[in-house]
Amino acid sequence: MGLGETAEKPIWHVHSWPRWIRYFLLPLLGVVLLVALPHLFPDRVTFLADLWAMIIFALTWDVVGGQMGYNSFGNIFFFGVGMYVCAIVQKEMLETAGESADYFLALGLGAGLGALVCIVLAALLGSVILGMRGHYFAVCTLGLGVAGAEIAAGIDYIGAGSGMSVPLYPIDAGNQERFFYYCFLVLALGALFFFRRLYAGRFGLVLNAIRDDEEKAESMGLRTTLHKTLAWMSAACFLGLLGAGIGNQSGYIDPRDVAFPASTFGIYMILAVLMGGRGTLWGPVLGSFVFHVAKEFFWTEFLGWNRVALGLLILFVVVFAPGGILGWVQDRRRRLDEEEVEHPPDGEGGVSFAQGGAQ
Amino acid sequence: MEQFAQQFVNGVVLGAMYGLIALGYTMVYGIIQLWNFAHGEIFMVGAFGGLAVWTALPESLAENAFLALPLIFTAAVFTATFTAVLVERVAYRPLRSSPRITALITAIGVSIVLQESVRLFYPDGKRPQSFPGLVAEGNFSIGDVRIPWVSLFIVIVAFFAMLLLQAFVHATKTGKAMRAVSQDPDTARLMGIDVNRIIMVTFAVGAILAALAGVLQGMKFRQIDFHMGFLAGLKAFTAAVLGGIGNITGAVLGGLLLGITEVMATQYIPQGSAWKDVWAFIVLIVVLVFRPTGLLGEDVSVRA
Repeated sequence: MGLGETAEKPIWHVHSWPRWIRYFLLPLLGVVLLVALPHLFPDRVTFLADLWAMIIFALTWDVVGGQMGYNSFGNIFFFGVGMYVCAIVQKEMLETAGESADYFLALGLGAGLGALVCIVLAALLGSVILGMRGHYFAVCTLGLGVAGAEIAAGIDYIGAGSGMSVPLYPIDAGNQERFFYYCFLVLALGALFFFRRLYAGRFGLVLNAIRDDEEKAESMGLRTTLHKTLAWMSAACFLGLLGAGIGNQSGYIDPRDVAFPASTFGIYMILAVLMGGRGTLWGPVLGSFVFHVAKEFFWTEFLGWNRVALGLLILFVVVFAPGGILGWVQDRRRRLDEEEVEHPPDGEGGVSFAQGGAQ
Repeated sequence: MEQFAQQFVNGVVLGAMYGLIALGYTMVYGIIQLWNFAHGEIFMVGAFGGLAVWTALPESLAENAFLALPLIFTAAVFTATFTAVLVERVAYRPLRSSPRITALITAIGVSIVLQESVRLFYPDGKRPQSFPGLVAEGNFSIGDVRIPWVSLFIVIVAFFAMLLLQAFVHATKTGKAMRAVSQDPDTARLMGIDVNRIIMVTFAVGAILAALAGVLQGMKFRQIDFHMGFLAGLKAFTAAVLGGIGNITGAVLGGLLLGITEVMATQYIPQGSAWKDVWAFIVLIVVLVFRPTGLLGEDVSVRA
């Protein structure tokens, strides 16, 4: 068997499929499917929309928590800030303009401003908080998330502890659930492409270097503080946009349960990443999917026991597959490939398999 | 001035309870560098254990503070210690050599499981439960400062518990072994110390103190609920960090400082009472930024 000959690759090695399938047919099918989903399952639209929201949560957490190795428990802070800023902008605009105001214009402006405020806040807070390491960073960010709720609950202008309502979705504008499904879909795909580009370039390498050994990265001349802050800002931006959307989707903002749910979604986003595999692009996506489906299942099947069941599932994954599902799959694959190298099917040796070992 | 003195006393009472919980965090961290997130739940479970026994007592006994109090405290301590040791054995020990984030996530999972267990299994556990006051109602006065008897009781119990802890850590063989393990577990093992046993003892001691705090909290606020451990635990952790994590004196000092800060901020800063629970985190962030080792702490390892 010579060098030029390629061995029969198993069908799941997507990279060996023809280019036109990989770059044209698959994406096209994917987009058609994603656009059609809410029409295929009309009574499941909110569930699907929340799935995209979960994916955004996980993707943004993984930038700092996975790629950079900083376990943040307070990313939910930006979610809540974006939600409140957007709601305030909408309310002010609709109150001044009265009936003639455009709901979607207000929503767009509010979301944009919310994201902007989040970016600025992340830059300010990041330059201080990202100087901490390990447990100190973890507990400090957890404090940030909880403090967000308490601060919001103390401001009368936004309804204090009892919360505020968001302007109503116009009745004549079509299906509200479907609208937010597409919003979150676009946002999630945007985040996916954005972070894919980010990780593929030098920026991603710097983040990984910070994760692996920050001292060394710094002494190599990398501007670690700048990169850490930028990474957090990018996460904050998407979280702010997501917050703006979720606030409008739920129609009512409560500081502790909706805007800053530090002990539920603040933790769920981490669990989803850990389940899927941290520090990878697709791990958070996969993890969110499994997590969201499992959560929904437990909530309908074991109501009352739902959180216990979810907690046990997470313990199970973390203990038995420390690298998450994706880590486990990669591990299995590597092992299979190694076995192939050791015992080649044609008994000749591993030249043509060398590629398989080095993924 | 009277107002200040009055608030100072209130702060000390609150701080004494924070300190009691913070001790458990700081000791466990000192020994195995684990942020035992579930410690706040141990505090909550202790309070519920005490309440359960009090509810089961015949009426004649339940009204008699001198008999009921020791029973409540014993029950609380037993429930909390049992839970903590079980958690250590089942959830933390298998993970001792795995990455920190795994242990931390596990701790969060344990915390959820404990909260939900109380919510599900304690009769009507999803609603706040009223807790007996037991100590005489009313106050006594020093000058213009009025101090409820309950507050005096809390401070006395906390003070003696901390005194006993000091004696235990410094004057007993087990205490000495604890200090040895926290300095260098491998060498301690070579010297013939059963490290696993010492870790278990540490969890148990932390749980005892948390259980005391749980009952005291119940007596002061006359009410407990299944998620009271989350915020209390977070504040106690702040206290431990403030004092210098791993440092026993620091935890007590941090608790007192945090309690006083919280009460003073609520009193003297406009809008302060609406942000009652925010001050702890502001203190936390400021301390972590300017003096991450805490007030009394030495340099501790920093990487997760």
